[in-house]
Amino acid sequence: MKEGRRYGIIGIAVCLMAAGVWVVGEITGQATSAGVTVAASEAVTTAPLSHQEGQFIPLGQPLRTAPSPRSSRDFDRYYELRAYDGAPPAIPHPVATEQAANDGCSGCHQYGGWAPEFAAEAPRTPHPELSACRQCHVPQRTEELFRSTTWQRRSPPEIHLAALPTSPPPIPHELQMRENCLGCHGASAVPELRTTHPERPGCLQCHVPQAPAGTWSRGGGAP
Amino acid sequence: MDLTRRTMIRGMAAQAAMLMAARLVPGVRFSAIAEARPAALQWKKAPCRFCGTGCGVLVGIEGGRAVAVKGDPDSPVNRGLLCVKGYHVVQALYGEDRLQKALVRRDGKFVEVPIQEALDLVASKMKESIEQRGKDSVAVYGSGQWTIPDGYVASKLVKGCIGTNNLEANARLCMASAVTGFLSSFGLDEPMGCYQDIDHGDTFVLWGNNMAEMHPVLFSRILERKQADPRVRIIDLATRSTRTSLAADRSMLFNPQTDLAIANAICQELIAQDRIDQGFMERFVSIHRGKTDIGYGLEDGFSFSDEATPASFEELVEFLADYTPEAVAELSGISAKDIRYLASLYGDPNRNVVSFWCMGVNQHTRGTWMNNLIYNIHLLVGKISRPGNSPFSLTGQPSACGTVREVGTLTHKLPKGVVMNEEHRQKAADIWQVPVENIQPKPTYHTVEMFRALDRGDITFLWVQVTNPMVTMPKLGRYRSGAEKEGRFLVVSDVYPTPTTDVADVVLPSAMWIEREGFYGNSERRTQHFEQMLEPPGEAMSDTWQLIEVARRLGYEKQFPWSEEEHIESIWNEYRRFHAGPKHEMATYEMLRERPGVMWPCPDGKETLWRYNATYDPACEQGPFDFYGKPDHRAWLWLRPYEVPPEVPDDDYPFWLDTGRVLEHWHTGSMTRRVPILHRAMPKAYAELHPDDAARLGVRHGQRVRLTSRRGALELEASVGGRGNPSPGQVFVPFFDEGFLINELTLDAFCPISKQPDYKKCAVRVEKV
Ligand code: SF4
Repeated sequence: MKEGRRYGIIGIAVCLMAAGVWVVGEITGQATSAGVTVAASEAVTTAPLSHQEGQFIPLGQPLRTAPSPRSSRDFDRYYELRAYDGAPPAIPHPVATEQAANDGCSGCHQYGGWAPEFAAEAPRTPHPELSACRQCHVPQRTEELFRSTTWQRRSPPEIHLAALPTSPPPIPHELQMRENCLGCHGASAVPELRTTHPERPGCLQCHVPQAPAGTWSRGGGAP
Repeated sequence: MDLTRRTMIRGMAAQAAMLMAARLVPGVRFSAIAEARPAALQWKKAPCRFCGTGCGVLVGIEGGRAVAVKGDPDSPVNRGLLCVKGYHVVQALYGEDRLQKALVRRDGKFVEVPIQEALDLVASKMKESIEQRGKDSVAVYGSGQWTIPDGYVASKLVKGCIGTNNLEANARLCMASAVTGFLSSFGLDEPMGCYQDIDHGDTFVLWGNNMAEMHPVLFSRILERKQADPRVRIIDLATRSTRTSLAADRSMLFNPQTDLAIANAICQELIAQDRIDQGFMERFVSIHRGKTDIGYGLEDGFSFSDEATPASFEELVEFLADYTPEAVAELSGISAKDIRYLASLYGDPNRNVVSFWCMGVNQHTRGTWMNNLIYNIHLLVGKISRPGNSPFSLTGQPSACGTVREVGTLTHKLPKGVVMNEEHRQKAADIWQVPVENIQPKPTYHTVEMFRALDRGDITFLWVQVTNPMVTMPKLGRYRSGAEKEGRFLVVSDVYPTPTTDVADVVLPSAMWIEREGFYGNSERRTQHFEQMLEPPGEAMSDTWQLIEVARRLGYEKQFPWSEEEHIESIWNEYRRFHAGPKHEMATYEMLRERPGVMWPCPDGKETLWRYNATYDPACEQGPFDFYGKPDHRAWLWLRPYEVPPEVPDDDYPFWLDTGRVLEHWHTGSMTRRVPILHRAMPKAYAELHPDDAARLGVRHGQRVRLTSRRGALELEASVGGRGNPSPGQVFVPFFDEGFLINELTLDAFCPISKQPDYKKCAVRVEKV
């Protein structure tokens, strides 16, 4: 009981310190709340990453070296591969065969990991139960278009929208087909999207889906 | 109220920094969350624009544009999953070359004109043709991409008002054998079961159906089923090894056309293994013999009508005696052991069997027979109209069922019944408010014959909507030059320029999919409504409204009285009257607006999941089964033999040519090729060869080959070890690419009963270029 209180006090102290950093940041006009979060993530990173030269290293393997080498996956590329936020990404690497709908995709993508031949983190699929991967994910064989398009890409959702520097950011996107958060936020994720605490499984306990603005109404005909 | 609350929160946000400590209290909500999104993204439901699976999509609309898609989790079809086409379906709206203005050909060149002027011209040309050459000189050709209201107003205008049966649709090229199969076996069109059969089935036999690419979401549903139950078996019966073959438990490759013999051999073996459900056969099935040696329709004016003679079970046994597994193994190339295995799966009383098929069975010079034969197998073992026991015909187009088959936009059909039947004509005349004499009792031209009539000059005015016959017609050369002949007036309504608009005299820009309100009907008898979510570009107008505008100019204001605001609802309510009654009751407009599709028959607001089964189908007058579509209340089992195809490989043309689709493109690609990710994944057509044939010809993957048939030639890249792998002696070419018109080579032979051409078999020569 007493110990619990002591941790509580320490917790509040840490929060206050973080708040202090935020306030200073606001005053000097340099740090945004996102900046603080990144800084925090650097400070506490547990780097559960396993990369080395050579063979594909699944994330399930014992941890070896850290920190991670710069992956070829970056945030712009992440969106380049998607027609809109939430669209199934195109396959950015060569594929061994056209014939199978799943030619060992799960070898790298079931858990994700480091693929040295592409010098890249293989992202982990958020929906491993679906096995016909090529039903939705297709490689791109040409840069050209058949006819040009007037498609307008919706700007991706803003991230790191925590109300407080220390509070968990809400989820700025749809959850359908992305129920497994570690798919996009696990250790093999794009750095901007990586969680600092992959060891905590109950993501939705602290991160809540954010409703689009202004559409809530009481319903039932109430004014 | 909401606004005040938000303003208040915003006010709080301004003071945020100073209220740091206060904010540390858990549970406080902050404005950053509410302010993050500039405009509200709204999700609205629609059926997918592409295939006949009919997945429910939710379209994200923002600022008057479609910006995102997700699978509708509430749709019983796809439960939230889509395929790559569905996920990018909204991009098909935004090709830069969308047709926005009407085009009229003057001195050989297209000029833009206001759409009202183009519609005047269409109406006057139609009138002129009727006056000079009679009613049967004008024709309308649509497709299974027509929404239900499009097809309905087309039928009312052509059959009810103008008074000709010159109304056809691309579905003739795609679903006609399924229709004649259903009608000859059950007396009523469309599957008895529904997609829930996948959840209840444990054995899936795919007859010439590359489901992994063509109906991917349904195939995924089968794969999920397999993950959940190790007893599940998937058998792929095909002429080419595909993604489906690789995912199946067994892949059996047979020689083209021998599916007829295989199905009969399965029946023979079921009898030999004593697997027949005697009780079911005696009470619910009657046996019939049809005509044989029925021809191929290669000549103009070909006609055929089948005749049923009753037959006994003994006659069936005798008929099947030729089809022993050994004899058929020799013919078909699949082993007698495999045939016995298939029979043991169908015959196992502890297995629920679903057969799926689509183009392989339907695009077949004996397509109706093949449909009958699959029903025969299910009838012999009584595995039909029960959850998980289902012969299931799949469709290719989003509303082949909803529009072409249910509204009946085929020469012999009416929204209810056929033109040959006086009662049916009377009913249509009553609902349409036209004199019954208007409706002609004789069918005119089916699709192939319609384009032959255009070539001959019997038809001089043709209006094509939502389809691309100058890519899809078999033996294309003849029909294109026919359409281009002097004295033919061709009107084409479409959303993009295509090889068909290229030969048109008038091009009308159409509103596409969610740019107007409409309904589609998918493979499982599910009708799906979609509202208008977007403004069509430029002067684009829905196909329904184009037809109404022309009908009014022809003097039929009384039959087409609706206003633009409510016409779709009014049309639906009028159309529903045709199907009133427990055998085909359609859902109400309100219900369809609300729900992610409703299956018919839907009497008293309740969907019928399994027809002809008294437990599920209130239209049954007896139990446990009542095949009420036939006068004897029985399903008809047909004696249908194996017959050779019209053209087989020989010394001059030693290869079989098979054509079809690929996952990434839908139909002729006029929409999917304008979707960046889809085009980039599958930029052009190719000729798939077996590695042994390729080695013999000295051709490597990516090198050019020339294919030559008796009708035409085409050069394109060879694909060896690519997407699919044809059997030795076969070549496969997808038809989506207007740059490589493979239908220049195909043969216009068709099933004499359904009049559906066979795009899967003709003879070609393959040479290295
Ligand atoms: S193309 Fe067919 S399978 Fe793919 S999402 Fe559309 S309806 Fe579903």
